[in-house]
Amino acid sequence: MKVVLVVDDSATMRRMIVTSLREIQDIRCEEASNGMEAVEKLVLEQYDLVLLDLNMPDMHGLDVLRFLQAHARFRGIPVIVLTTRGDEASRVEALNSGATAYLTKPFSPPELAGCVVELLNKN
Amino acid sequence: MADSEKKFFADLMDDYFAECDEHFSAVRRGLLLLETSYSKQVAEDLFRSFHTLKGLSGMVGYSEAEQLAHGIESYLRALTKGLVVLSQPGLETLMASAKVLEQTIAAHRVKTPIPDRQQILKSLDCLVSGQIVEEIRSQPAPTSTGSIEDPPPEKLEQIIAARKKGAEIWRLVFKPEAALAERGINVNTVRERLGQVGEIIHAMPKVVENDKVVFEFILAGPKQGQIFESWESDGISFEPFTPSKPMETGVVADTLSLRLTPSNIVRVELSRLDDLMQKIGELVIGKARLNELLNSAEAEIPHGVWRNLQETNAEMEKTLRTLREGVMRVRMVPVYDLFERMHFAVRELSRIQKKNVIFESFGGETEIDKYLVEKIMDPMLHMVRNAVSHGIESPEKRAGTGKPLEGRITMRASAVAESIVLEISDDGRGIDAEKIRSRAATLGQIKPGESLESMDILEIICGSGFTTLTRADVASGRGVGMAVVGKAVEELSGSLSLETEPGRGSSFFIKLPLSLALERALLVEVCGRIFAVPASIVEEIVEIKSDSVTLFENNEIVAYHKSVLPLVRLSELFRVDCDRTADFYGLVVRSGKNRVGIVVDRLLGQKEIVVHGLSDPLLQTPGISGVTELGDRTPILILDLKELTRMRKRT
Amino acid sequence: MPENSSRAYVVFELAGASYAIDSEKVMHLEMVERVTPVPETLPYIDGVVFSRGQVLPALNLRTRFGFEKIDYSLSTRMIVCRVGERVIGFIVDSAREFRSISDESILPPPEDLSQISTDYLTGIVKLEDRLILILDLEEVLKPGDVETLPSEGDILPIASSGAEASESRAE
Repeated sequence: MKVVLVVDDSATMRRMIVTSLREIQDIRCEEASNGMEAVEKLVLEQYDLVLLDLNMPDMHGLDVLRFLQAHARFRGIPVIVLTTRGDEASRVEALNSGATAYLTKPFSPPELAGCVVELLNKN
Repeated sequence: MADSEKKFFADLMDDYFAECDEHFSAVRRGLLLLETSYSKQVAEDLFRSFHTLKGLSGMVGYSEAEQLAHGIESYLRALTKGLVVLSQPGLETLMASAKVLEQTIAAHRVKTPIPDRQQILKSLDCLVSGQIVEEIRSQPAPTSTGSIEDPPPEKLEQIIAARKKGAEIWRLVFKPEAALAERGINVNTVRERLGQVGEIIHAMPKVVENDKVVFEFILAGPKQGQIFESWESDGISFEPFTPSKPMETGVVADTLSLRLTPSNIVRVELSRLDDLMQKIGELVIGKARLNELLNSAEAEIPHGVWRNLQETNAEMEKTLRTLREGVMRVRMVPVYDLFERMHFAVRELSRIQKKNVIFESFGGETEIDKYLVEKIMDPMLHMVRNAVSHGIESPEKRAGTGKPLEGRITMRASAVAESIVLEISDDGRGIDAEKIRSRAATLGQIKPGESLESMDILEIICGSGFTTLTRADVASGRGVGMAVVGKAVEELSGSLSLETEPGRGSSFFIKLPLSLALERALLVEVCGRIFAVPASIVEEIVEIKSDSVTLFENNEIVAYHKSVLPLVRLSELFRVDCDRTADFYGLVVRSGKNRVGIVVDRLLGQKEIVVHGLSDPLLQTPGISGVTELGDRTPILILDLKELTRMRKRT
Repeated sequence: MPENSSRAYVVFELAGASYAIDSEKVMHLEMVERVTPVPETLPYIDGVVFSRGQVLPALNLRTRFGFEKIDYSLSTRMIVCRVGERVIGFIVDSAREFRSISDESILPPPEDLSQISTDYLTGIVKLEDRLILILDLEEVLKPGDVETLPSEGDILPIASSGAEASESRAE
């Protein structure tokens, strides 16, 4: 059973993502609504993949990403960042900061599922 | 689509619309703040809101909304980067585009045509054009500065500002652990807790001792740290804050910090709260039955046992009351949001009509049932628009009559016993009774020569079919009239009243009962059938002997308090056969300025009842506002006395 | 799902004929008690009823279709149905059966019966020498004059075709 952490401040987005991933075998999703909560969850439990929204209030996704990359403990977990159309700067920055892949909104459920499965299988 | 998919989609869309609502609330607040003075922080928050709206709308496939949000966001981005400066037309365009975006999303929700966006997109484009925003250039994200573990410079300024206001700065460190999480102590709840004792200036994760992760908070809080002492056992340590770098006493930034949105809000569907209220209502009825049964059982069981039963019963009654109040409180929201919508509408309309109007509100913290907010929103918007359009005069006219050039619209909310009173006042031209009267006379609603008082004016302008505007105005939608308002207020079992003085202004008062689900009712028998009558409308009950009734111009009347009381018989209004009893009762009810007596044969008592609506069109009848039952599932019709008196006038 | 697509129906009796309603629309059956008449409503609305905590209109199908109104008896039933977003109770003489009817055995209602409105039927099926008329609830709910429906004697045998319409007995 692989565990995925979905980090997004929008409840609507989280619901969409979790439902899109439901079809995948042997996968379980957990949710965090802000960066600090995400870090806390990563401290207390094991995750195989993180889906990270960039545009969050209080702690921006990029800061979460940098925090994860700065510490050996979290460095190995693959992270897919969710960006929006036209936000090239953040996308580039994210990749430079250690994101494994990015998905641009709007994305369809199969796109998301495909990306997740690919990354989970690689490890 | 399979049913489960349909349901998922419907739930998802509910989430989407609810989330959009929240964002628009924040947008409105932000735009109003921007109007008083520009602040980068506010502009950034606005940018984030529209950015999120863009992403969400794209995800659910609303490309028009996505496109528009993208346009707005681009302008805001340019603002925050200092590439453009906020100008008056810029602000106006922002507000207008926010409105169009809200309408676009709303159009999807109620499946009406989507408003045209071309104009607004062009305006937004103009604002940003000429600034080449090089997005491809790799730029650091807004919140990062060097090491992510030191507070950024703006925060230092915030610290200085807070110290100036007399707060003490603390550094608190929370170490998450599984055991703590099980007790409900996690970074979210810790944050909440801190937010309650002060203002969180900065929050960040940190790694200490090589591999342990903690969360550090910089808090502007109480002078003494005793309150934090008991928190040690919850994994929270504290110490006074000492900055690692020397702090420059630079210019204090203008921190218009909007409060951090607490993540402890649970979004609940209103229908679930309705169900809860319903169940509580049934409990109340069941309890009433229990009371009766207990009373009748007194003779049959040993007294000691009976007394214990009564005590337990009384305790349950208290608990039930607390429960009911608690659920009612859950449904309550401050009217502030309502006022802000009005504020927005006033600003917009006064700009379009080139009038100078000040909006002020009082009592925004007064709480009102969420259901009422939804229902009263449109009528209030209507009245506020009327106030600006027809109430407040043009600046020239006002100058001519010696009034201040700015018109003033005031809204007030106050709780009075079990009701809330909402007031909308303007200092405009007042309502011209003469104009109303002549129009009403033309429409045949009153006799020529009949004089009018404020209450009558209200009745007439709320009567359907009445408008003082010309046909062109009606066509443009403005003449829909106060009838809509009157109806909405009635449907909520409320009352509408008016005070007006020509030349000085008008005040409308909407009084709404706070509790909708439960109502005190009089049970009466008419023509062999039992009906329920809301007690709050009945001013008095009088006993009438049939030989004291006289006939006057085809109306039955009786002497009443130095005047007369016209009688209304349900048998005539409902066209049912009925034996007239020798003696009967009259329920005295207001009708405009006068009073009317509704004839009932017997009085059966007073009870608190659960009101059920009659929503199906097959059951709708003028004069019947709902249905209830007394514990045995037999439906009892609830009379709408106000409407009945109005029906009588027409016959 | 069975191989030939077929669905379950609630079959009920009204004025000597048998009718059916798709059981997916049926929420439950009840005996008719405690109906309170509501003044100034349509003649075929017997009144309002509380059913499992919910308020709904009680629609008398006899009156709706122009049959003679009779008192409720022990066999009278109210079929509580969901039609679109609405919940309505239909009062019928009796309702005792659930039958499975295959989609292919349902035939379109005969069109050449002029005074009788087949608007209210979505189809007709022969089941063990009984003719069962399948009701279109949405049509029933549309406001209209009190109509007549065919009772068993009026309908032509399905086997023959091109026969003249027989006259209906308006009741």
